[in-house]
Amino acid sequence: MTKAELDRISFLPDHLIDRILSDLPTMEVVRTSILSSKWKNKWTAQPNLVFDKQCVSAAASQDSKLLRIIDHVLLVHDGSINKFEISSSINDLNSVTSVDIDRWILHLIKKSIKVLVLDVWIGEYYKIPWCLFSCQSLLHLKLSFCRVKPPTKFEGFKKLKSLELKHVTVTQNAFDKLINGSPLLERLLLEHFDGFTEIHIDAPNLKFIEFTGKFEDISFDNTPQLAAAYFNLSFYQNRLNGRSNNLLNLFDHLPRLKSTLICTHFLKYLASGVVPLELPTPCMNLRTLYLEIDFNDLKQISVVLCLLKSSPNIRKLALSVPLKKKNALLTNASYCWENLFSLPAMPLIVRQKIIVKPDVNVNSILMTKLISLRKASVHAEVVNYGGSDSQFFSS
Amino acid sequence: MAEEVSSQMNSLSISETNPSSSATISLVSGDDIVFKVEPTIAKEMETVQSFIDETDGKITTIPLPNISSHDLPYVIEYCEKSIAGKITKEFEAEFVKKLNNEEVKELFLAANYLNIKKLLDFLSQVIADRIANKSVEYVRRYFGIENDFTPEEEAKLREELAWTFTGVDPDDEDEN
Repeated sequence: MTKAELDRISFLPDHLIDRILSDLPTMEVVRTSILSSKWKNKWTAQPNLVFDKQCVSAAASQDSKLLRIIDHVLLVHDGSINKFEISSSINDLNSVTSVDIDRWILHLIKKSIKVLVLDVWIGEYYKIPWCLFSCQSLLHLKLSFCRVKPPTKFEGFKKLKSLELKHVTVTQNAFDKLINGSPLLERLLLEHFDGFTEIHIDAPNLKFIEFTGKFEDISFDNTPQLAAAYFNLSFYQNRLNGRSNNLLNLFDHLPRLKSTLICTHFLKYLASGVVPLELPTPCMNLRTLYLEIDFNDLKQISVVLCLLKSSPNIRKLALSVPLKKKNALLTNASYCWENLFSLPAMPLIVRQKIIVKPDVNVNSILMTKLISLRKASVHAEVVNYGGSDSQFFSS
Repeated sequence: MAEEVSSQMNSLSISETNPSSSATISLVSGDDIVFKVEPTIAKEMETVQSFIDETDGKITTIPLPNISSHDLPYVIEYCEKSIAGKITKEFEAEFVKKLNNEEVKELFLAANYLNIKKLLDFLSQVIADRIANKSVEYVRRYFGIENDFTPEEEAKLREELAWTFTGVDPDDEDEN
């Protein structure tokens, strides 16, 4: 910086400085106390305390002082705390025990915490303390490596908008109360969970839902707003005593669905029981459809056909073949694709893109068949797709 | 400064005869350069819009004494992209590439004055990124802060805050 530049430095008013500080990780913010005596305690009024992975490993490398640092920051901090996050890598939290996290949570509840992110591995799943379940200021809750076992009188989080659970154990009863007792919930993400097998969703404001893991049954009861649903079922065993019309039940309750991902195990789930030729009520809002199909399973194909026939407004369609089926031979079932897309009276009009995501070893005849999907519509474009799934949904 | 503003206000009254809602809005920079923009752009600038609303749309020339003719085109460009829904990561990266530290701060002040929330959020993050992991000396210069600690006091603080210095630039490598 030249002398001239130094002279015309514009001084930013305090409220703008605070705004900048709120975008910095806590480690950076705390370091500003060294700038001058005026800055020494400025950080203590910052409402967001974020100990991200970089920060935690930096603190942990300093002779296991992490515990002391977080205690110190919470003690010196002045004012309300909007957000508290700890994200650690494995082994960084050696010196931290569940008693310490319990103490921090108790403190945060008194500060009316709104956003809580706990992504910590302390050598075992951390048991969420009961006091957190009475914290009604929570808007966003993200828990990883935790056991969620609320007291029996727990009725849900009345203000909660977003819930993310990854690698958590939750009892069936607790899960039901979490979902059905949080009426403002808009976003739900579940990844690798255990302790419950039935997912029953009664959430009038839910807009986004994503599952990755194993469950036996799923039902939507009161979800008029749900626009995006991604089902990444990792395993499904057809149970004879299960629901007999999964497909009908599911789509009947998702009138606003715009975007969905259905993996092959979830297709299997939808295929168990009655599969009609068309849904009684078409999915008028469905625009983006990502399907992972086992082309050797006729029942799955029939579900896909039913969905396509019932979705007149598809703009983006992606088809993917699961990796495990790399040696799959093309069966007669695969040919129904050609029929579907080449018939003059074809019900499906793809307006923007059909995306074919090739697997390394996918059967070349199958690829040829898929590429011939170009016939689907003059506007449709078939592309070989190498990007990630998330890119597909955002593009 | 106050006199300059009021004299501009007087000359504004002449243009009051054109209250049509589709008329372009004239933004007058602090150094008296006029920028004509669509009313939709003005809507992005809350300060400008509330000025227009208060006068029932009769006044379409708005003096912006705190904003220079150097900064205003950047603000307008960002608002145009915002309306078109074309604020992408690529656009934002290109947008800040052109700006030095001082210009970013000036635009940040302009966004604050005009009350453009998206631009404020964006520039706040840009400044945060530009000072992250930078040495104490660099940040002092960035904000124009005078160090009033004695060397002993500073050394003691540095020791207490040692954990916050992981990955931070050393003091002598921060010219630019």
